Amino acid sequence: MIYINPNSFESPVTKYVMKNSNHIIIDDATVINDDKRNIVLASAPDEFVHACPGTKIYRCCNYHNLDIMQGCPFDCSYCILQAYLPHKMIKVATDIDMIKGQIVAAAVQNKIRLGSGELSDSLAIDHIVPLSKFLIPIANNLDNLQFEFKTKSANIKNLLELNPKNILVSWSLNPQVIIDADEHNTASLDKRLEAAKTLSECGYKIAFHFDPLIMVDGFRGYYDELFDKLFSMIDERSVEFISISSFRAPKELIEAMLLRGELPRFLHHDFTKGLDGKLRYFKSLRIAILRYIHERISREWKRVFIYFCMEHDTVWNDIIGIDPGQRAEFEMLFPHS
Amino acid sequence: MKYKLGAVDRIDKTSFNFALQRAGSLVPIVCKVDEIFYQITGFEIESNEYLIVEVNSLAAINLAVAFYDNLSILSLSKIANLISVLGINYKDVDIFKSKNITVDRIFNAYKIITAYNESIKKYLDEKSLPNKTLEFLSILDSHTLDFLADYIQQNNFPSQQSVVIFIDQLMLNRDLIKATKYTKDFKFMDMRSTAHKDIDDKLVNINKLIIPAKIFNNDNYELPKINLSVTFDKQVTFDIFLKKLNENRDEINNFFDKLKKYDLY
Repeated sequence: MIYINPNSFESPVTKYVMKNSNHIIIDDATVINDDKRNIVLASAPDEFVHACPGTKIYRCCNYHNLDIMQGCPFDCSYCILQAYLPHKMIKVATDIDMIKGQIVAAAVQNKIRLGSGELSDSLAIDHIVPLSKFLIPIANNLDNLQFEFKTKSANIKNLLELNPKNILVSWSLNPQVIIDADEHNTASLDKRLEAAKTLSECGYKIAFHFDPLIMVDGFRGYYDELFDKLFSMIDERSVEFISISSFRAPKELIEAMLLRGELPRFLHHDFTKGLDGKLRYFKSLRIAILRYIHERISREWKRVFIYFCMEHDTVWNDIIGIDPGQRAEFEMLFPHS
Repeated sequence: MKYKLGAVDRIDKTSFNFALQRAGSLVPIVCKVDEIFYQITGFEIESNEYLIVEVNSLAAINLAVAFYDNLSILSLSKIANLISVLGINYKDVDIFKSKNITVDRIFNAYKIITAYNESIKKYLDEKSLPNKTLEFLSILDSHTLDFLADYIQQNNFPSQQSVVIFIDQLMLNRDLIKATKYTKDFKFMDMRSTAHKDIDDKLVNINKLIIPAKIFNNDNYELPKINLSVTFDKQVTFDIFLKKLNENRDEINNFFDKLKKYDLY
């Protein structure tokens, strides 16, 4: 159900939703059942643009997040939102003018990579709350900006009618066996790749996140199948970058995962506490899977920029012999920079 | 709050008797709530006379709790069940606020404790556990709870820290111990990879050779280094240290090679 706070009536986002979807007007969101199926539109003035928190210990690429939407209809067993957000419902901030001002301010001097996929899936509810229709025109007026919609959906209909100029759409990819076990309610691997192919043919830059890599029996075989599909369906020239990282989790996320009715089986593995306090695969294993995925991609796609998200410089050095440096220095490696 | 001294014919002496420790008062106190008399203190005192206080059910709970310095988890569980019967919202009860029991899932985790088997209840009447651990307990099935009860019993009421760690492991392994009965030599499955075990074993062997020194990596091998620790309480220990280190330098060099083999150095 869609709930609308009257404080957002003036927002074009709210006007659109009120015109096109059934909704309930409600002053107090605390009375709404806290459920992933519920969407709440409200004005919630805030600082919406944030640098990725990162850590000083692991290499951070200086990505920026636009926290316009908090909550996700998908139910991935490993989702960090289980630890980050105190609610399950999806809250959408409707303060488009304020958000525009903040994006413009962030992009006025420096090139910036910004995306709405940290506290939500960027496109999962775009057919109901079409933020793409409002964010893309803003992004396309700012040539310092590359705006990323990060998704596990195939919900791209709105994007087909919009200008792809400064826009990048990315998909988080995992083998179908992991999607079935751990990425509940998301689009299948085939659907994600078909959506990526369609948008790339429309002129969108696309990207892929192999994040989180999850160790399961038959890991290489499953990922090989995925790569066969990826390489046969997608033209390398449309791929802006690929990120790779293995599953990692703060204590709070592990607790949330343990409390899930069905225990995620992949937790039965060799995890140790990393330098940032998060649980990660034992480093030796981690390097083995990161190296495998990196080699597999770079063997086929020689041009695409591949990076490791939140990894130690020793891991970078071990696998590809470079240290990307921290934040701004790291960001210089991206094609957009 | 109205109160008076007097006799009472029919008293509910059990509902508010939720703690092992005794709530002291010179005269037993009885709360009159909706024409029902609940004794809240002085359960051990033989008396025909009571201090009768006329209050609503919430005030009765808050008053009863105020007589105790600290209530056990089991007592809190009994109170959780009592307030449910009395139709009180736990968010209004002072003791639950003070224990950070502010969301339904934690409150429910407390409420269910009275249904656990006796050794777990006894443990929770004597020792405290974090709310998160109680929440974990609340989703375990009866077999896994029995497994925990046996662990507590056979290990003579282990420390809180040991129980917290054991319950964390139970949560992670709950699917794997379905047909297992706890015995003292039980060990949870070793999740370490072959590489990890190989390195740990090698380290144990080296450390036997270089006593009183010890080598280790204190960040789970995230950084490519090894630490060396040794304490010299006598000059002769220093000589022994140098000698053993020298005798075993190849072993230590081999350890670096092993780290390299597994991409850790």
